[in-house]
Amino acid sequence: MSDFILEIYGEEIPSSAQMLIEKSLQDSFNELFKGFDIKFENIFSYSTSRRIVIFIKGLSKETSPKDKELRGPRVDSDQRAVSGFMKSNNIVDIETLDKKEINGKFYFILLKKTDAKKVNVILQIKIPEILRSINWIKSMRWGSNNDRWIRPIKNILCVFDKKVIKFDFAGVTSNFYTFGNYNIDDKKIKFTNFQNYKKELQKNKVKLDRIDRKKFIIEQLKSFCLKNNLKNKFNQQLVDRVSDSVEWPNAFFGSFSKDYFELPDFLIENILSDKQDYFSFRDKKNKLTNKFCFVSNLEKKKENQLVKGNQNVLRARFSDAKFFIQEDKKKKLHERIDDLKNIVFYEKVGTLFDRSQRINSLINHIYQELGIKLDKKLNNLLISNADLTTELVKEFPSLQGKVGGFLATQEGLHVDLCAAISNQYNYELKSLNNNLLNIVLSISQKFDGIVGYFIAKKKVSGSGDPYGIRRSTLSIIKICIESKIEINFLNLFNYLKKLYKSQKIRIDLEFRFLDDYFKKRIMILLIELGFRQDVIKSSIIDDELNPYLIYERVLKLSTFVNSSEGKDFLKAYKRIDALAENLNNEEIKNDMLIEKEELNLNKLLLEINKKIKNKDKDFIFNDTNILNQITFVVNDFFDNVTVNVKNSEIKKNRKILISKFNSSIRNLGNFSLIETK
Amino acid sequence: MLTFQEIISNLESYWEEKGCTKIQSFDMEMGAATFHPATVLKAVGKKPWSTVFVQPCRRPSDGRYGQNPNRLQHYYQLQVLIKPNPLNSQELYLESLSTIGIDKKLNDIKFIEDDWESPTLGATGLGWEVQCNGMEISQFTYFQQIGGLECKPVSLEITYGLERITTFVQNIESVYDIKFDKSGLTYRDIFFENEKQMSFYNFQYAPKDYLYESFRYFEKNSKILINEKLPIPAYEQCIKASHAFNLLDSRGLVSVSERQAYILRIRSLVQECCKLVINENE
Repeated sequence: MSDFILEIYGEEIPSSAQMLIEKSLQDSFNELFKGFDIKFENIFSYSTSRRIVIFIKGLSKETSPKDKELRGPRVDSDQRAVSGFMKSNNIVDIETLDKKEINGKFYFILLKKTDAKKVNVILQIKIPEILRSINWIKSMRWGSNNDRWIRPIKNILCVFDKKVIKFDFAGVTSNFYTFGNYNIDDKKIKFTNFQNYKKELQKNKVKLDRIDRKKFIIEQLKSFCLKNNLKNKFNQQLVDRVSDSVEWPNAFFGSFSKDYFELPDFLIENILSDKQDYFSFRDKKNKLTNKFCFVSNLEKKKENQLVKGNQNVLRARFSDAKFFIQEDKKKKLHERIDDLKNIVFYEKVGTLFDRSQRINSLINHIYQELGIKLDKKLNNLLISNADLTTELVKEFPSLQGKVGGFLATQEGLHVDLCAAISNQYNYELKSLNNNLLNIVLSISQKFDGIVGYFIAKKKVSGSGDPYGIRRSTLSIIKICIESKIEINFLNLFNYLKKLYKSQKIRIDLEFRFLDDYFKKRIMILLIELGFRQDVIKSSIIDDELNPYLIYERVLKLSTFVNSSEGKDFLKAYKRIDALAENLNNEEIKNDMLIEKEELNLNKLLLEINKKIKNKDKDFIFNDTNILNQITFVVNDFFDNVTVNVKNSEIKKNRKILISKFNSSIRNLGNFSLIETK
Repeated sequence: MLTFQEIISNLESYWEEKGCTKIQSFDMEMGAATFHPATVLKAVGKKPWSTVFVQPCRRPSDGRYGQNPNRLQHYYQLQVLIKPNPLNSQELYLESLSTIGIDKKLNDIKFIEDDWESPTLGATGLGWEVQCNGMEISQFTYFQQIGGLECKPVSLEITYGLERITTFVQNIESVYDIKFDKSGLTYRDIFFENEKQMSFYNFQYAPKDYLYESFRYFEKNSKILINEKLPIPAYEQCIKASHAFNLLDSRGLVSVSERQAYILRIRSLVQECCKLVINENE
């Protein structure tokens, strides 16, 4: 047993790629060791902005030798077959062969020993193959080489059992060395063992372990917050990104002029964290402060110069943003509506102007469906996406909506309208439930986006979601469920179809497809929430696609199928379902109902139908008495009444009764899909 | 303190010493130094090539009537192209910065992932935006494709944003305060009026009909020249078409879908030019 290390050192590796490469290498090495039956204790991987490392502890130096049984001809086969087998395996003495019974027949068996192979030889051949077989999302070539890597490689350290595993990859020959942090002093370091390697790197300003880098950043942020009485909450994604962009994360702190608080908070924070990778801070009252933090490889020696430089950059960024706002304010949102005519939504699916008209109509339609009147002050929704024509959104595309909301506020529009515009693209609206317009605008905007996407003949496939279509779909479903909004999506599809047609946009899309697509997404969401697939399936009814109602039914049905009354009912119901035929159009002849039990079943059927007629479909979940009664009456019927009697008229009458009963129960829920044990 | 001109001359001298041939800027309007034939047409094919030059660039829609401290519709790039890229590309670049007083041990030089793409040229590259104390000062790219063709070998392209870099070196906040040379002239003295007037032209007066017409004309001409196997003049027509397109864009006359179509039209021509150049050379 000995240790193995592979370190690929090179120019700055994008943080988004580091973990992927680590995983890919780990998988490949695991597969290699499995294939050759090479034992090892543990495999570790590390990465920084400059290096990817695989460390394998306790790797055996040889593959395990193996005895392999080679089956020869049957013992009773003719001599030629036996001698042929012996000859091809270089065997002179037949006594060296064993005999073994396989499926009742005896065979000659040759025990072959495979020799143990040297692992260093395997590694030498296989490592370049592994490095060449990474499944890249993005990779590059450089110089005159054909090998690909994420960025140019400068050095490869590869040592096993204290010896270099020598190979060439991308024009670099592997060796014994690595380098320290090149921003400070890229000292050449000789590899002796892993503990020493980590120690030497640390000495030369490299924190190899991602967790150490993160911890170090957070400690520095925390102590700054403590000293300045600030809120201890940091953007976790930024911590991840920043810790992978350096090898030695020193935190530096600066501030910007409070004059820039005239810019909206969301814009300041976006510039800080998204454009500059700076941390922002809020005080204990959750007010944004003018302090920021950036992380650098450099030591604190030249702190002033670094901080001043970054402050200057920020000033330029803020003044740019200020300029955009000044420009954007020159034209009010409603004056921008016409400019939307110049921006295509999807090819052959009209312009953003057409889209805003549709969204506006759809919102009014949803309000109508909900039976709520939309306040006149709020009914100004053609401006909902007018911010897409602003300089600010051109510069900060991720701030669409937020910019519109901000400009609407500046224009003094109704506060609910401003909030609705601002939050329309949010995927989660949980905390904003009190603003109905917010919900309806968000749903409408996303609905039109999804339908437009499919009309443009684009497809949702693979694991990617470049247009955010899956996220939008999930968001609509979640919002409807969380906000208890009851809308039948099928009506919305039909309404949208009319809108598209009225705009002379050609639709080749089958709306059945949308129905299926949404149903599938609802299924996925509810399965993720932990509900049983059969329960969900039986809660989805034809001719209706109302996520909130489906969710409610799933909830009720889940409790129901787990209750003892529910379980008994389902067993009884299966008896009905098994015999039911398509006889609904026939009438039950009352004078042919003879037995007490069938009279009872018929009486119960009339009662159930009365309830259904009165739109009380949930009694089965709410009223245990009637549920138990159904179970009892059904079981009583099947226990005591024979359906297949000789008298064909009585037989048919009973079948009609069963079928009608079944069809009424189906009105209460699709119980036939529920699995009973 | 180094002047704008000294920064240019220091960088040029440095790269000349490293074996780059210093050439002059190209006499056509272009959006980036990458359009210079010494970049595009030389980065394709196998022949080694190293050059350094300054290129004035025009991006009509970046005009701000002289009111923005760091956005200009006309500015200068210093371009380095080396094929194949040297093994110590990054070190060479960092060393070049030290000739203009930017020391990597005293300043926070960061290489931020920024994969570069020029849809018009059908060009892609992988590399970084280089930041110095938070400010973008260069683009550092390993070309992977030009005109839709694989670059073999790979060229290194380094583009220095000269105005940005100078504001950093001179420790000032606005490009207009740049000390241009030893005479005491500032960037404002030379270019402010130009920025103002050209912004009017770019946004309000560039003649629509002429631009549409000329785009079509340049495109047609380029096709004729490609048929005649004259890739160099054919490519020049592409540069002209591209600028006409940029002006149409700044006039707000190009919708999103049209934009894509215009870009594709230029790209397919550039690709033809590159193919011809490769065939000629190899």
